[in-house]
Amino acid sequence: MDFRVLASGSKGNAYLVTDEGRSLLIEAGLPIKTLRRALNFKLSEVDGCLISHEHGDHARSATEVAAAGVTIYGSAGTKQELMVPAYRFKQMRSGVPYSVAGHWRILGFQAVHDAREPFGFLVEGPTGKLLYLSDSAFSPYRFAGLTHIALEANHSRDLLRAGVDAGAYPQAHADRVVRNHMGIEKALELLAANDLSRCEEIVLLHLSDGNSSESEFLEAVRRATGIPTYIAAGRATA
Amino acid sequence: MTDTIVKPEGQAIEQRKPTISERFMQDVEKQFLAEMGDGPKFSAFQKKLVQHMYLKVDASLKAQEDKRQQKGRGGTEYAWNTVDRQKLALDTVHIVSLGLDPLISNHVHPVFYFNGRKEKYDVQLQVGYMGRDYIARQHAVEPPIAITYELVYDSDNFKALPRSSEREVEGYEFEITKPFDRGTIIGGFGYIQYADPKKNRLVLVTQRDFKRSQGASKSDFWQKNDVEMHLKTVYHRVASKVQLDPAKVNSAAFAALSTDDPMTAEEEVDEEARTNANREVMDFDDERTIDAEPVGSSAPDPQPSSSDAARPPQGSEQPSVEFPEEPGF
Repeated sequence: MDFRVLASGSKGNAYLVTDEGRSLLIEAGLPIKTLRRALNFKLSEVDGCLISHEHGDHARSATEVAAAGVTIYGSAGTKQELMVPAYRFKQMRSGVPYSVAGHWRILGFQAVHDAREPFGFLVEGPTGKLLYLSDSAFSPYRFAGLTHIALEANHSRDLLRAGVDAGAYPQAHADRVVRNHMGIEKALELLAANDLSRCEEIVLLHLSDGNSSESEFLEAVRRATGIPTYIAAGRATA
Repeated sequence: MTDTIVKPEGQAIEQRKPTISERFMQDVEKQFLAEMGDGPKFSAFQKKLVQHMYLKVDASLKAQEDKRQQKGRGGTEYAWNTVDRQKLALDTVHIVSLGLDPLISNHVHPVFYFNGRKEKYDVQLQVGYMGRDYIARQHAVEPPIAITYELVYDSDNFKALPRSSEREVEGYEFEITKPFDRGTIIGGFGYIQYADPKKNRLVLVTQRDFKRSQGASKSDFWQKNDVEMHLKTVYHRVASKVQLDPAKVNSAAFAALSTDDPMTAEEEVDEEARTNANREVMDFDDERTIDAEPVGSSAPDPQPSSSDAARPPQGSEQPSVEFPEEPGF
């Protein structure tokens, strides 16, 4: 299994998970032209597109992706917000596994974010099992047998507080971030709560431009887990 | 303070007016009945606590008035006839129902605020740090078997040991290396212990928490009582993490408690995460796996709600969608 970052952050999110020659797109938060280019103009070859929630940085091109013949997968709430035609939207229930193209198993679960019905995803292919969780204040769940983890580490609380103290943004903005995005502190708690014995790599997603520190986050996760860890922005190809 | 009335027979008797103390008790009893309805009766012990509240407020009024006169301040005299007694009676009911004794040091502090609209003083009954500790022990959903409160100095060794996949019980290591020259305070912590150690909870108190408490204090106590004020902050913040039982205290008393130290967004999220994060294992269940294809036809759709469901897959127009944007961060 390979997890590839096409884009990550509040300006747009898109990721590609590939296993034994087949791919699933996770999120469609880029302009469609950029997304097509990032996929070498092979958008229609992906087996499906998982959308975590309706915010533009995750779903900007969902309708165009659907129009290209790609089935969108997400929650009932996301379906209602996106208005993607139902024949192109596979509505998932939290905790229920679905098979896709006879190659994948996917499972959505509730995330903690100010969207209609935000999801995180488990994605299982022939050689690996991925946890994808972005835009969630914390994870309600633990997971078993993960080989790949793609996890939001949006901010550190110290940097958020420093921004408020410096007058860079109001306290209300920082509060909203804390309530809706996973900081490095909660990411580390999630990692500590899971059995990572099979985990091969961890990718940190959705880092805030002003309130994160790539080097410190990498060091913290590597030190806590001993697992190769990457920052999504550093691996972006788009 | 006596009135003279004359009985028909012409025999004069004296009818004593109630004292301020007695009127205060009557006020509180009236509010207690209004709050409790047919609930528990006003006990002898609670009456004693009300009397203690009277003595405490009375002494505080005298102290405030002495200070006002010494400093030659104008304004309204601090006296029982310039206090909003109805509000005080209601707040006293809350304090008494929590079992706090105003004459025990640091259970309750009366604080006076002049209300220009009513032209009277509102008396806010702030729960002191020992009161917080008492409430946490007495009124918890699950009473802790012990609560530890400590300040941490820069010469101490402190290590937090959070719960993890390999450690079921949250804990800490704490060592005082220079007991008589500990240096400066860098933080604090509390450890709430339960009969089931898996429920034990470590609460960290940071410099930011101290600054918040200091910022909220208008007095110069912090400068004069540095260590004590830090320790009081630790008590308040740790004891407030013990979940109280609504069955043991009425909701109005809860509300009175919650107003003096509202939780920050970080604390709210931490509280929610403590209860709900990283709990149940979410995984694939072979027997429940649903074949998701072909989409829109045979695959079960739990809540088919859109009229789009009947539309043909080819040649249809794509709806124009305005996506809700998230503020960039």
